[in-house]
Amino acid sequence: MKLLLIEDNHLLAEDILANLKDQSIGVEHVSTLTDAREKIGVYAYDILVVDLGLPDGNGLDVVRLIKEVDANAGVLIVTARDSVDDKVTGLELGADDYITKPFHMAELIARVRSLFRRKKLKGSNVIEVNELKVDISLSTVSINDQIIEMTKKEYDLLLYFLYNREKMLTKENIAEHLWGDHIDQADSFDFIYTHIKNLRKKLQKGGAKDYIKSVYGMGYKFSTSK
Amino acid sequence: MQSKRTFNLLSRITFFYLIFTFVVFYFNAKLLTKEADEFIDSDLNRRFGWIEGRVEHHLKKGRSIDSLIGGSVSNIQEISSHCKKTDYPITEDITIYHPEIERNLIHRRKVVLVEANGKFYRVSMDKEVQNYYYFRDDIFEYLIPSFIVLVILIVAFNVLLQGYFLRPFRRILEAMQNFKVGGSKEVEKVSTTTKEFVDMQDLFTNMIERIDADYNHLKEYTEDVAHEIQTPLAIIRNKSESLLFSEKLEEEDAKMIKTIYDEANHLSKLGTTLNLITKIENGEFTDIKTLYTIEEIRNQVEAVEELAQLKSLSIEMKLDEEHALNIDPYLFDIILKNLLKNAIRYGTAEGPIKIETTSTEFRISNYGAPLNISKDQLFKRFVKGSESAQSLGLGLALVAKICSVSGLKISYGYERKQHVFLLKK
Repeated sequence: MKLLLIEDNHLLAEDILANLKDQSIGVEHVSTLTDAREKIGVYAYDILVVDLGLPDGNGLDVVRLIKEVDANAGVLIVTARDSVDDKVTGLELGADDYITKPFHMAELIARVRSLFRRKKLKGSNVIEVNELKVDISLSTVSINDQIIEMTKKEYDLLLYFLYNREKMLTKENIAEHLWGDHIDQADSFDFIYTHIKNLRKKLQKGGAKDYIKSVYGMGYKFSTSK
Repeated sequence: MQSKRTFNLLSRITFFYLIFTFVVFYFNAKLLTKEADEFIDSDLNRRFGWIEGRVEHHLKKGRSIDSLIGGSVSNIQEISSHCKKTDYPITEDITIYHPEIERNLIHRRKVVLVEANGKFYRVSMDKEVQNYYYFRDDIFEYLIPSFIVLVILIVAFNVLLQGYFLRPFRRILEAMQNFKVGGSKEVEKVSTTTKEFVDMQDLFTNMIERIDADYNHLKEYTEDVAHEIQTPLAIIRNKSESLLFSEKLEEEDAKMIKTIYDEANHLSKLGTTLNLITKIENGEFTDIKTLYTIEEIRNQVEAVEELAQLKSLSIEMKLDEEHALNIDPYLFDIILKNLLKNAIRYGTAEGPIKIETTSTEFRISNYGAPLNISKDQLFKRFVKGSESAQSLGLGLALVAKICSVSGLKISYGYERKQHVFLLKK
């Protein structure tokens, strides 16, 4: 996967770069509209992550441009303004998804991966981790080819873990992913605990290893290493 | 508050103008009448004086009384010299019947005392004044109709002028009414050559430009703050998140970093929500349409049903398909989310959360202990019903704000152990 990050804040960009590289995602970074235009003109990217507020213009211009150059590239816009207008305009211009600042890195990674699958890996929408297999197009989970029944939330949770393998996920992070702003976070921790307990139980019962590890009671991690 | 009755300017001016005209006409008539009376008096006095002189002259010459009666002299009587001389002259108006025209006519009678050759005579003189009076009264008879004609003309003109002269004024007002802060529509320029209206329009235009500029500055400022603050917050959060899982970390330090992480989250949410409230106040959500709520409520309930179940709460719905609101769907979404969030957060397992709509009302209730804050405080910012640090204390303030800009009424009540929020048009 080749990703271009267009973000003017260097600290944030560094963070994103580090996190994406950790996840073995190939990423390049530019901080201005001009540089972005240049890069897009020369190289092909699978995914573009575009901050809308750039020092030399609106990131929407990049969205417009990339759709002319390579209509098949996935575009994720990053907006800090929480502005409905920007989101709508962005999506109308052909952006595939948006994420609002401040976002969790895990959320960004999940969105990027999901976008990549949707846009680029047509037909092979299956994530496999040893005995565990998730077919995204059918929304099914199977262990050793045995389909496991899951609730929608458990499925979402599992997918989120799979998109963020080997990465710590805080409870806040998971809560926000699962429920968005439907609930204040403190209330949701018990629910997360219940969900994770159920998910682990189902996976183990189906014959999978216990991949989901609790870390200091502060978060969780999906890890295939010991 | 009782509002004062208002009148439009031209009617008011016309009204005062008419009163003024009436006063002028009235005093004019009074003056003319007085003039006429004076003229009548002086004319008659001149004539009576002349007749009196002639009678005196003849009496002095010794002519008999009878030969002098006739014409204007109706009677001459010799009276005692001890009579009260100060009583004379006597002037009065009397009515005399004239058989030849079969009518009563008013006459002026003047009785004078004439002294001739040491004798006193009482001389009565009559002069017909009916025609004088007719003439005098004509003043009123002519003035009243001309006043009425004037009134009609003025009122008619007023109506015409209201339509013609005041049209630009009305159009300017209309244009002003359609002006919306931050709206993309240009304010329509009304062309007029009336100086006052041109001045007024210029003033309005300047004001609007200033308001728009102020508004845009404020908006930019708010957006910039929101934007610029979110990025550092994101960095703080991400850095603390990575630190949190660092293996070198002592538990004590982890706790502190967790606090930083939590507070960064809190701050970020706070910023977003306050920004949202500002946007709502500024009327930036303009996608107002008739929204049938049943679908939206079902979707939202589905999204949170699980959360409710985990708290052993059930959600009962009794929805009316006809329930509709005129509102930006995004704003209704926020209302619903916050009311549901509230119900789940504070609901107890004593009974279900109930959502009911009728064709005019939306009602959501949950069981729970009575509030420990006053009812008036409920919709204010940063008032929390619980000690939870995670609650922003902005949810219901947001709901109240949306209701007030969307022309909806939200009320709260506590009945039969249930907290009830009622949303009405």
